[in-house]
Amino acid sequence: MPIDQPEATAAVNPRRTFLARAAVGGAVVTAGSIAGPLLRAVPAGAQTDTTSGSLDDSSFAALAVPLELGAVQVYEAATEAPDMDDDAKSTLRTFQQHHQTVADTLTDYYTGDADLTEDPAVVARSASVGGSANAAFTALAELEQALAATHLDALGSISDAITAKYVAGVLAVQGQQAVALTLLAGTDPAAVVPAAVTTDGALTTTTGEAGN
Amino acid sequence: MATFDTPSRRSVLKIGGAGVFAAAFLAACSDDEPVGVSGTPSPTTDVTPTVPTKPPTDAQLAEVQVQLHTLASVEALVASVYADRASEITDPELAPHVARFGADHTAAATAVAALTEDGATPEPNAWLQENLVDPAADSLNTAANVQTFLSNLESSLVATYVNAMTDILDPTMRRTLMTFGAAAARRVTLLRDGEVPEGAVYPSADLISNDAFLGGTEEATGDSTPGDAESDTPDQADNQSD
Repeated sequence: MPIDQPEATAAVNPRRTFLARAAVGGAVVTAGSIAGPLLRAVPAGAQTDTTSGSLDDSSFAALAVPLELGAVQVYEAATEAPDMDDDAKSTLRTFQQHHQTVADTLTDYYTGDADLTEDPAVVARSASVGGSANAAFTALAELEQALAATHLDALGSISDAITAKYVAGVLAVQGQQAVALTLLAGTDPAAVVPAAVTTDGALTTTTGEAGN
Repeated sequence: MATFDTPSRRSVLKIGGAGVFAAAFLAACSDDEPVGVSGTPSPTTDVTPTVPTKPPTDAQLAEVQVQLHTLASVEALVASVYADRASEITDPELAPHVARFGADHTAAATAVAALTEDGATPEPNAWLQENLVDPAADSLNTAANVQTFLSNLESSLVATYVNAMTDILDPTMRRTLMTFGAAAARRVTLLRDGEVPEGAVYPSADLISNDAFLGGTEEATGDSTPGDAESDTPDQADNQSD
């Protein structure tokens, strides 16, 4: 039954929530050792059913924060496209802020020592967004789809139910952003509105402890 | 009268030096075992002990079935609404997509129902049909109204999928469910002509009423759960009237 408001819980006090869970669960494992199975990109249907995932909050943050921070940088570059009008810039700024919000929230889940910085492979996508508004919309839609697929992939391993709910809410919005960007680009949205979304195109981070 | 010799600074230093020498001597005579530990040293390991997974309770397992049956029934309901109303969407850019969405929901309903223990064929959620769809019938007199209504139904479905994440115990099942939940979210944006999401996380405002949740297999046809009305919150009730 719907009895909680997890997005508020996760966003307002994630560190305290994590510490409480750590105290109860008692298991905090290093990010590198946990992120491995996820980063092997096992197909969704190939995993054995379990009742608890292998990806703890900190390990997930080590994977996702660099990707989200990289997306913030790509959006920054996209606003510089010469024919980007003010309305479109406003939309891009909103989406950029969403990625920053997710990065900030997940950073509070992180308990490791390494600095979580922008993923260079994601930042490299900035090169394809500055030429024109349409090129930016198309490239950003692809990025949003990739990020949503990444979160969906991780969802199958995340151990904490509250974190899983937060991630589910995030990937739903990122998919919406892919649709909105596709419509801005004026292209057929059929490909971004499938009957069921998949983990195809899920990213792996190339920085931080979760790097492979 | 007894007198006490006050130790000189030199004598204190000599005694201290002798102590240091003695400690170093004893340490040199020992093997590599830690100094100051008697008995067998406790084993050391770099691997954090694995905490056994607590088995789910019967109530938790039952709640999983409630969530699955409910989601399947809402999918079936949305499919039936598309079957009745999709043809009323006349926008040439939107209509081809909307024409497909009913089948998408039917497939999702079947897939979610297959995750339940009994695998029962899902029926459209009766509570939502009676309290949400039927009352709206008179107002669905324009294509725009139909489009808005469909987008609201899709949004309720998304919020219900996201909400279910805390009750579903199996991470792989959570992922499977969100393949459908995230698809519904994308349909919301398409039906709302590219409306920009307001927040980074999907809002729970459109979550279905507690009364719409199915209590178990015997209620898979849509009877409301006895007593659930008492736990319904004003906010959730308000959401359904939007």
